Amino acid sequence: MNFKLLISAVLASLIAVVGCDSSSTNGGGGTGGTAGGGGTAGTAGGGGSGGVPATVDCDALPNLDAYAVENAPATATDDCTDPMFMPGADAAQRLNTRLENADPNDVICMAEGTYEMADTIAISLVTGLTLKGIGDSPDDTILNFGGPGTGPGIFVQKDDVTIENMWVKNSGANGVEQDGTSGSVFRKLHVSWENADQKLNGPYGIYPTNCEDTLVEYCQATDAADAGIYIGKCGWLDDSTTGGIVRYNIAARNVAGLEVENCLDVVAHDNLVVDNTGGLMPLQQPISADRPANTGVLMENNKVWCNNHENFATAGVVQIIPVGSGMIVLGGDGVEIRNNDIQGNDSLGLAIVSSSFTCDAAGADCPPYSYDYNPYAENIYVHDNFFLGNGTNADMDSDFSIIFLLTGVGTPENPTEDTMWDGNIREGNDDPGICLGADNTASYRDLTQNQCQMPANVGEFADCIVNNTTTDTTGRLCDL
Amino acid sequence: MKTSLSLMVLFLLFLLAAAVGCGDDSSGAAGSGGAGGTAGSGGAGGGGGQAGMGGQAGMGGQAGMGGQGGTGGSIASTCHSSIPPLLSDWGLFTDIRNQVPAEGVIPFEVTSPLFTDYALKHRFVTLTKGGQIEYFNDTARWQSPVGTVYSKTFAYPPNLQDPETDGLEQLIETRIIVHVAAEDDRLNCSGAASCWQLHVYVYDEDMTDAVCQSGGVAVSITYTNPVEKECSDDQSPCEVDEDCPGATCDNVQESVPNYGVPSNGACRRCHGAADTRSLGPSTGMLNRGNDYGGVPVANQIDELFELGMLAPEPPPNEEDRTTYVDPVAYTADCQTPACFHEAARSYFDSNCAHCHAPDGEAAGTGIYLDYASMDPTNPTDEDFKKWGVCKVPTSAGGVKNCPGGTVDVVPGEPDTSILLCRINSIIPGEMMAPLGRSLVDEEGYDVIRQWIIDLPILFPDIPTCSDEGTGGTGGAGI
Repeated sequence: MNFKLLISAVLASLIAVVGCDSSSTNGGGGTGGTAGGGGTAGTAGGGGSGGVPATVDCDALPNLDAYAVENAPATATDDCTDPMFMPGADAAQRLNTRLENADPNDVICMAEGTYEMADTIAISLVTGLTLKGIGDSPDDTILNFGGPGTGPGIFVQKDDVTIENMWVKNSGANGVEQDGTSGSVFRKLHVSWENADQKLNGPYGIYPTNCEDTLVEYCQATDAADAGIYIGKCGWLDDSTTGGIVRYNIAARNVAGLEVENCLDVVAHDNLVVDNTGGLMPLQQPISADRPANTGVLMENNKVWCNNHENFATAGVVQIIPVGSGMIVLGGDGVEIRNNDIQGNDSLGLAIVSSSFTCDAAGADCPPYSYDYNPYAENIYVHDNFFLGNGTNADMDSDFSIIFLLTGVGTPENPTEDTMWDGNIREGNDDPGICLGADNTASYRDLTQNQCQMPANVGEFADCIVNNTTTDTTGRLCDL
Repeated sequence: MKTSLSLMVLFLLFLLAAAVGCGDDSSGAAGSGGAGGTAGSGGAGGGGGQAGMGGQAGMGGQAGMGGQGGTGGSIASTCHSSIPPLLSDWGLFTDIRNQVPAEGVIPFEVTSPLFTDYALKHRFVTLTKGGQIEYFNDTARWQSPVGTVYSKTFAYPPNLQDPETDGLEQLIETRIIVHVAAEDDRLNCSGAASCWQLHVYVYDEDMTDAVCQSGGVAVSITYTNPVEKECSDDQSPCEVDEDCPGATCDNVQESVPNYGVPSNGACRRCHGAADTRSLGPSTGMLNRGNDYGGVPVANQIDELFELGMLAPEPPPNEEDRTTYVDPVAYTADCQTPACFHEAARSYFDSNCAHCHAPDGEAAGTGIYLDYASMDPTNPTDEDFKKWGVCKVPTSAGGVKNCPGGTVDVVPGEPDTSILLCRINSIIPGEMMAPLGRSLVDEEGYDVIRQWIIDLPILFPDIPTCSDEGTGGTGGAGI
């Protein structure tokens, strides 16, 4: 199988999808598989960078079964520490032994092939290790996890570790996980699951948490039951560190595509987030007083397309994400969202909500929080994004359906506004800093105008949305 | 007694030094065995100067020459050459097969053991001369000095249907956690003054010694369970007893087809990587009597203090010390809701709280199950939430086949409590604890199940989670 040809076909089909007119004619081939016919249509594309983005056809999404990230850099193979790691029996046992006994900064290279992994691969003793495949593509080096005892696929607990150029499949828990370390690089990783029953998939594809200065780039993460690519609780160690950078990745067919949670100083840019239940998700949870909210988070130049995948989460907070959500900003204090291309998300383009609103929408008591937790979204700066074709077929089975029902939006005739804010404001806060760039042309809705902070019951909550919802942007045209 | 103890410790140290040094010396020679560096470490033990073992390890070295570690019936060490390749190199036992400790190596038991597929465990501690473990009277784990060696042997009863059985326990593995100074660590403790090394030794076929393995091994075990229990269809039939199944019987054949000897990386998922530490030893766990190989002691903490191994002095009365309970034995005698809470508290502390604690690796989940967090004195709704009551899990994916239920613990309703389902699961990614077992702890499950049933009785004001019946997201406040 010529992999490069396959990739170019997939890329061509991607371009074809972007190239508006021709994509609709080639669309039939696109859904079927690698869209061989897309090759000629490639010249018709070219949109996306600069000017008005081309229209996306959600019925002709690229096939992302194989690694399809564009312009991924070649992986160096001249720096490997001998010997090359080879496929064969007891692969997990042998690789764990190798990693445990390595010297700091060794570069452990894996030959092309399929490795059946019966155990988690752990990097937990030696710092500075690199583990990488030596093939042209990550799909050339397959780590297929399975069997008893497999939690995460690869688990990193040491600093300055690089994992690169391999395909991590079918892990019992997260695909590639890192906890409590700094300087990790996750590059050219393909993470996916093949279970017929999606609820058996692991929660997260790539999962750096409690991390500092993490780089996630040129990765493709699909099929995760929570988020394909997640970065959470990162950047808080001290002033000299940031959370990290997430760029040039593809996240598809996950419940949440790309999630940034309770991070300080994270940039997510130039990612393709397509065909998830919800696309780009800067979220906040009451999980750590020391790592309280997304702060200094920038999301720019991302393609957030057609996130209309069914919600197959069986537990957890992502269960509330309506099918067809482009972006949901949950809480946060200092999040900038600019120059993103947000198209074809059936429920909504961008929603800014607080934890208090989501529990009200779910008809549940807002919980006591275990520390002085601020559930409200504050200092959210939204500007220069491109919205097209969002909110035309809103998910009426989700907790958010109350919004669509009460405001009468979410249909082809009355699509959901491009940017929605729940209007909840912390008591005593004069200016929540919810800013649409002054030159913003996107449509807007404030659901409650700060009149539904703590409704006594669902009826009262519904009433105050009906009575207070507005599309007036007064006070919201500001800069941060 | 004390003098001989010190002497013994000195001897132990000598052995340690010999083993380590020897590993360095012979690695060169073993290197001639070829690229299979693992075989080389097998040879390292050969120079250890310990008669019986030396011979065996020598065989390993020969096998290494051929580049085939497995031939000759003896496995080679896969640990780094700086690590003693054989359990015998540590000098912890005068009789490994019968787990008879060397002098100065003190056995101990914990009150609420971690469940590991019903394995029997033999725990020992030894210190270098003059070393003392820092004692805390509350729930804090003891702080053990450089030179401390804790070891834990995992074993099963004999398989009585095996004609070649010697009637002794089947020894599977001995795990060692040792506190070393930076200069004695090949990585210089990554810059710290000292650190804990973790080592796993897997027994050879005749169980007279064990070989260091760093990458994890899956083992299939069959044993004869001497404990009287209820028969069920999925067990091998009781011998003779025609009333089975449905009656109770003993000597049931049991199997653990996928017992997992952990990789060192797996060890650190519980013991920590940045701050690797021992987990078991604490006052609540050790404040009890023990049988020191036929010599009963009234209280282990008193004994350790008498031996000079603990400081400062514990309160003289054992009632004044933190005391955990054996969850199963305790609730066999006392079945009130308060007793089940105390049992659950001890169970969670040993089986969950190495991660689910305010400073644990799973702190981000908001579920804290350490003994201190589960204090039953006037808990608030926030406290209940830390136990999982009416709390939506922070992430998806932990629930795969668990039916119904959107929150971790629904008071009074075990069957819709995700926490209980995950304790009852063996599906990777769903099961809790996530590693260290391949079977369900059925007795522990029963305790936690009853704890959930009894929660509304013990705490009449506990939330009912009724609001979370549909969406359920309010619980976590997403």
